[in-house]
Amino acid sequence: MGVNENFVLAVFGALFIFSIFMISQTKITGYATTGTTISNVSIAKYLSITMSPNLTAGIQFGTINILPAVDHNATGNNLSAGNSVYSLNVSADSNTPVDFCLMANVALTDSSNENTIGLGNETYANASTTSAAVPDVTLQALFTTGYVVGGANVAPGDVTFYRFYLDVPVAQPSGTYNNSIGFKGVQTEQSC
Amino acid sequence: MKKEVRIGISFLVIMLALASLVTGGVGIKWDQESALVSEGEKTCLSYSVYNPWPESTYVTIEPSDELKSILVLQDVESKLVPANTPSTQAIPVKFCFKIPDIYTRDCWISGLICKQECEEEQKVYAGEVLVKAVPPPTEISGTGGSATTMSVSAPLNIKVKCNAHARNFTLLYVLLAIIAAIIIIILLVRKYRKPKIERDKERMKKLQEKIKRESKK
Repeated sequence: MGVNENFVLAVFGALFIFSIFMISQTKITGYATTGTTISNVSIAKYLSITMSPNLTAGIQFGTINILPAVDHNATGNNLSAGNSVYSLNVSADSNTPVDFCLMANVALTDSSNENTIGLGNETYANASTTSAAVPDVTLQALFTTGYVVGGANVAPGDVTFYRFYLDVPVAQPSGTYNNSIGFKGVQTEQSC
Repeated sequence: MKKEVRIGISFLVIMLALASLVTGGVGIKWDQESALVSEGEKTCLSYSVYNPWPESTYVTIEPSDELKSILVLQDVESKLVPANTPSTQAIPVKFCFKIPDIYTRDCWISGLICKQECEEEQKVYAGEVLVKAVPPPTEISGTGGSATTMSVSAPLNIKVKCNAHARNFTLLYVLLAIIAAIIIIILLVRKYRKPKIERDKERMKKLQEKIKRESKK
């Protein structure tokens, strides 16, 4: 090995040592110690909801034979002696009142041909009790594809009843139309 | 029919009738509504699910759409929440995600050597953590209508921490050390591969050439 090779060896040796030194410098850390005592608090919130069995089974409008149909009732709207069997319940094992948020994923759609019944034609009304007149059809609200409040400030242990309605225009093609309605329980005054 | 069999069938019919009146539910318990997380790091938040209703439910936990756009999600697992699980015995569920690098970095050599000054405002993403009952209870068929789904949510604000740091040359030093070590090894192998007598001869030859050159001067 000549002088040049020895020189190269020395240079790379120095470079290697320099690199290792620089890597070790980046790892230097320090710790300071102080005397402390711990104080903490944990605030827990909890809520639980369930749907009535009829609502779990889905909102069915049956077969409509005469068009146009206006405010056509879902099959469970008056099923229990004129009362609605569609309800959302807040468990008594909750520690916060609940707002119910509702949305439709899409308009009612016939999957075989993609015909739709406009989103604004499916509506709902809600109330904290149910009777022949309550929830009131005149207070119906439209479904949208974003969640909106449809039952506010429901206390633990309480129930919100729903009625669902469908308008079908005279020119609506026959078919079987489906979509999905989502119900979400959120802490009261939290946005949907 | 024996009396015992009649009683058994009656009991079964009553139980089936009762079962049609009840349904499972979803519940969420939470003790944090915001989290401070570092960009590029995996973070897990813990929630609890419960079901005080008389039927078991499968649930999944996932972020709302607002957060889905920013979080890189880990696996979403579904969990069976047995019937009559009160909030006091809620089942913990981990919800893990990773925040991608969102703050501007000044990088050299294809992002290998970067510095971050954190001059931007802290980014905060507001959304929810959803506990959904799965699968969707019923698919409507026949005469048509709307299937229904159920969920509960807890608010979640994710504040992304920016970790300011100077340009980090560690990787460069590591590369330099590796290259230097490789070259040193090659040179040493070349040097000691030949027998000593040959190495001495080569050295002698070079010295003679050097003497010759210097004597000419």
